[in-house]
Amino acid sequence: MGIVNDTIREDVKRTVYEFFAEECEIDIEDIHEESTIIEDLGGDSLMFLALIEIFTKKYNQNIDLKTIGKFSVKNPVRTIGELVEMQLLIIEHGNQIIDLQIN
Amino acid sequence: METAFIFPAFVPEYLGNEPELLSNYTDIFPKRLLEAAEIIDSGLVDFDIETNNFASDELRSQLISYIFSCSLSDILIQQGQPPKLGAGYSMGLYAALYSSGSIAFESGLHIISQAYHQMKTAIGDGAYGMGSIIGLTHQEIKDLLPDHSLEIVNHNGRVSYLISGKKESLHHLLKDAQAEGALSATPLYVSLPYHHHMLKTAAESLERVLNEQYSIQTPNYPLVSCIDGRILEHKTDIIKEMVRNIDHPINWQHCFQQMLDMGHTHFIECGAGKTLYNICRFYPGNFKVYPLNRLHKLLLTKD
Repeated sequence: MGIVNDTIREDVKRTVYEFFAEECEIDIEDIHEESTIIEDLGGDSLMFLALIEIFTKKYNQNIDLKTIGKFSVKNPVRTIGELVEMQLLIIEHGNQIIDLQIN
Repeated sequence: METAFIFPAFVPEYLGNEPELLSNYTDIFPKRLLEAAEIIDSGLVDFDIETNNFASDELRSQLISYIFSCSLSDILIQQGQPPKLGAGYSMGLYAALYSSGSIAFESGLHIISQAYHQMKTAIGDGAYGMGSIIGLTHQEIKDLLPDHSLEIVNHNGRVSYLISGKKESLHHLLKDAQAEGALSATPLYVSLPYHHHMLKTAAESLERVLNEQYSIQTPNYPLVSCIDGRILEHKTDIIKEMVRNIDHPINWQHCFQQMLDMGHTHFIECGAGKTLYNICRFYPGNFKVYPLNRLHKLLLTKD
């Protein structure tokens, strides 16, 4: 499990925004917290998977993909802001993310 | 630059401006569409890309996809970009065969139609379909399969697969996969269990038809099998591949890796949409896939 500070928070946000800007061929200025991943950006599950792998490598995590799948069934992600928050939770809690109670 | 052509199956989602993009180079697409309408189905001329009005018509979707792919292949070859290698993803095989000179444009239309009707006959009145599971391994999906009514038929990536078979079983499997921790488990809007072994009789019928009715030539550039990665260089390989493509699972990642291993690094997605770009972009390796909307970097416009 890791500690999420402002530097990590900023890094995750920048990585997510740059990733979608490149993959969806959209100006990074046009991506906002409220942008919906599928409807607004044309994103898909493979992009979600690729992002997970990027962060897993970057933060040297050993997380079970199925844990993230189970977590996202209970806590669906629709927007970029929600995706950033979810990645931060994964970095912070690792496989224990499944035990979190999110309101 | 030596390129390889990769041909998508029928396209679930269009970019929306494919005819416009193709018209930057030549007027071949509307001509091919008219030609196909005269040969196989007059209704093809009603195709509207904005509304994707053939989305629920599998046969017409396949024909339109084939026409796009053949048109783009013609443009690329006319512009001096002949491929050194090619591969067709699933039903994209027919356009790959046209592009390589193995079958005529007209033959491709007829073979697609005959294969479709033979598959329909093979399954009878049952309800069938396909689904996509992302986030589980092959073994994890295999452990969830209830019986032989479902099969893993497309290996798109380490944790990306398509499943084919009985619709009711598929519905339960997708729910189970989601509960097991799949990142995504969704049905595809098709009514045939493509690549499932239950289509064996359709494959046998197609084999007879191919041997009796069509003139199939040796391809003028090698194709890679999306079933087992073999190189298809001879007429007999081509017929065998078309037959097996009906009732055998495919492994696109293996096929793509074969092309990388052969030294190819530039791939043109020869068709509408960007399905293959989406599938391949996260494969390991140093390569580029150009879908239609990125081809302006490679081609000359007619102006």
